Amino acid sequence: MPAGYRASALVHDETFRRLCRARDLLAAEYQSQVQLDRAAREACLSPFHFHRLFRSTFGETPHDFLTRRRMDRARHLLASGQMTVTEVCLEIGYSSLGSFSTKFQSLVGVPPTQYQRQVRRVFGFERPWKIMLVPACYFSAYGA
Amino acid sequence: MIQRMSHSAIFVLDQDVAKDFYVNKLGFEVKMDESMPNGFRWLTVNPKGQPDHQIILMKVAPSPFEGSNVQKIQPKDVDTIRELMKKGAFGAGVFQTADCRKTYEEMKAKGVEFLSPPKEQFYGVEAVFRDPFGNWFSMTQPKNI
Repeated sequence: MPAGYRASALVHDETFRRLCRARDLLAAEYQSQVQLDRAAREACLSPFHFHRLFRSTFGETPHDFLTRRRMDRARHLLASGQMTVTEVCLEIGYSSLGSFSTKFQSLVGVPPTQYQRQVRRVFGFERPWKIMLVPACYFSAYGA
Repeated sequence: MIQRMSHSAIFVLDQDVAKDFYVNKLGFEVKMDESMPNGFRWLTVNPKGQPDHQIILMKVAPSPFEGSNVQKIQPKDVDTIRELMKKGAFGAGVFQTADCRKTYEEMKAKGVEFLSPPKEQFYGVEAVFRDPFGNWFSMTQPKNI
């Protein structure tokens, strides 16, 4: 969830579409070393304006958006228990385990190894870890 | 004090149909789509310009809460909800666009049903459309654009 998101005035319709195209590009290529300049070109904006408009429109910088997507994916992969921390790190496009761990901890609150352990402790290997993604009241309302 | 709203729900009758409508016709993005072993499907979407608010596309189904003063929802209640939905009993919210007339044309071309074409109002330009189940929405271009 973007920190510091504040509703602001809507941007021009055409600008919004171009920003969405660039954001989709970033989202699709979140595993690679994405070129923010390329995304800015996709939006037909200078890098400076792209950064500024992206932030005011979506409530986070392009870089923060990418990091959030990577970490969402990392949490998913770690929770599913199919991959080791190193495999997850490489899968989401980090080449250094140290940077991945540090960034993960700063956003999630615990290092990836501990996160995976916690999920396993609560849900085990076989039980449906996906229920951690859903507010319990909604889930239990459906006869869980 | 409560500071923010992170999730809100739109009740739908079929989640596949709902996903197609909200993603392919309205242009929203899927935030989560996870099916649980008990059959519960957690499907949330958001307009691209509002990534921190999840709209739960919640299937109307028999069951939910049962308590001392809350009665369980029965299959016949689901039929009642379906009928009321079709009749337009549920206005589900207001969406914002920077260009109501253009978005109206695009959505119409995709087959979205409008209850009212874009009209000038004192607060902006507003059209009203409905989803495949009957939930209706205002689509407003505020004046401060």
